[in-house]
Amino acid sequence: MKQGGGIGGLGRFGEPAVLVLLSLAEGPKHGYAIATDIDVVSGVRLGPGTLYGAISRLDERGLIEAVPSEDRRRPYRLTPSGAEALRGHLAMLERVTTTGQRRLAGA
Amino acid sequence: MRNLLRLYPRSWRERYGGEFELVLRAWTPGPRAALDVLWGALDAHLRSIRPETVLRLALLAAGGALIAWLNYQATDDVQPVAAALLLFGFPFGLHRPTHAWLYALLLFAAVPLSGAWADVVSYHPGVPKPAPFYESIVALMPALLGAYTGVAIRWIASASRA
Repeated sequence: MKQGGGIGGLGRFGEPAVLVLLSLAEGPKHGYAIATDIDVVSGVRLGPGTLYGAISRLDERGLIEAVPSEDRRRPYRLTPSGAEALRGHLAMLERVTTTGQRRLAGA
Repeated sequence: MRNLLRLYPRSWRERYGGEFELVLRAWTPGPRAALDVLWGALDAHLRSIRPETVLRLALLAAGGALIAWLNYQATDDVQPVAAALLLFGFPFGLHRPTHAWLYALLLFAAVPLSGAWADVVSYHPGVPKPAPFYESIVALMPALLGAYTGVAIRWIASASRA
């Protein structure tokens, strides 16, 4: 299934990747802060391997980038193409949600 | 938990290792987190595989399968098996001289394994009794000879260029 704006093709890391993008939409964060934010916002507790699997994939695709830092806890931020990918994905989810609610209302 | 970081590919560790280690320190340890890191390491390895590695592994599997099949069918004529060990050992020695011994061993392993399988299913064409298992160690010779001929030719070629 094609997903909006470049998030598709991430395999099992698709959903964690969206959550990482969503977290970084608020501003730059380092790995542990991303995991904590995702837990608070969505109730999903990503494991460390899954978190960094998603971060490394997004980094390789240029959807996020590391912010230069002296600290070993390197923060990441959303790139313009990452923001566009997230926007496209959220629009797709919105269409699905709207359609789902409309159909459920008629059920 | 931090020891699990060593399971990741070196290139991945160089890029993300420092920050990942800090995240692991802050994480509550447990079997679920450990499994998640193991899965992440496997995923990172699969993603770091280059096309030439896939080609090399495919050639190794094809060579191993052919050697095993030849050995399985062999009567007292071991020349086809020896020739296959020589032929398949050669390119691995040529392209991966530092690991020539490893590829020779892996190709050789097809001989005792197929011999053991023949024993299990009692398939011994033309041989009244199965040959003792340890006798197959002789097959290491053509495997090593093929691989190290490749190493020697590479060395000669690079010496003549210098």
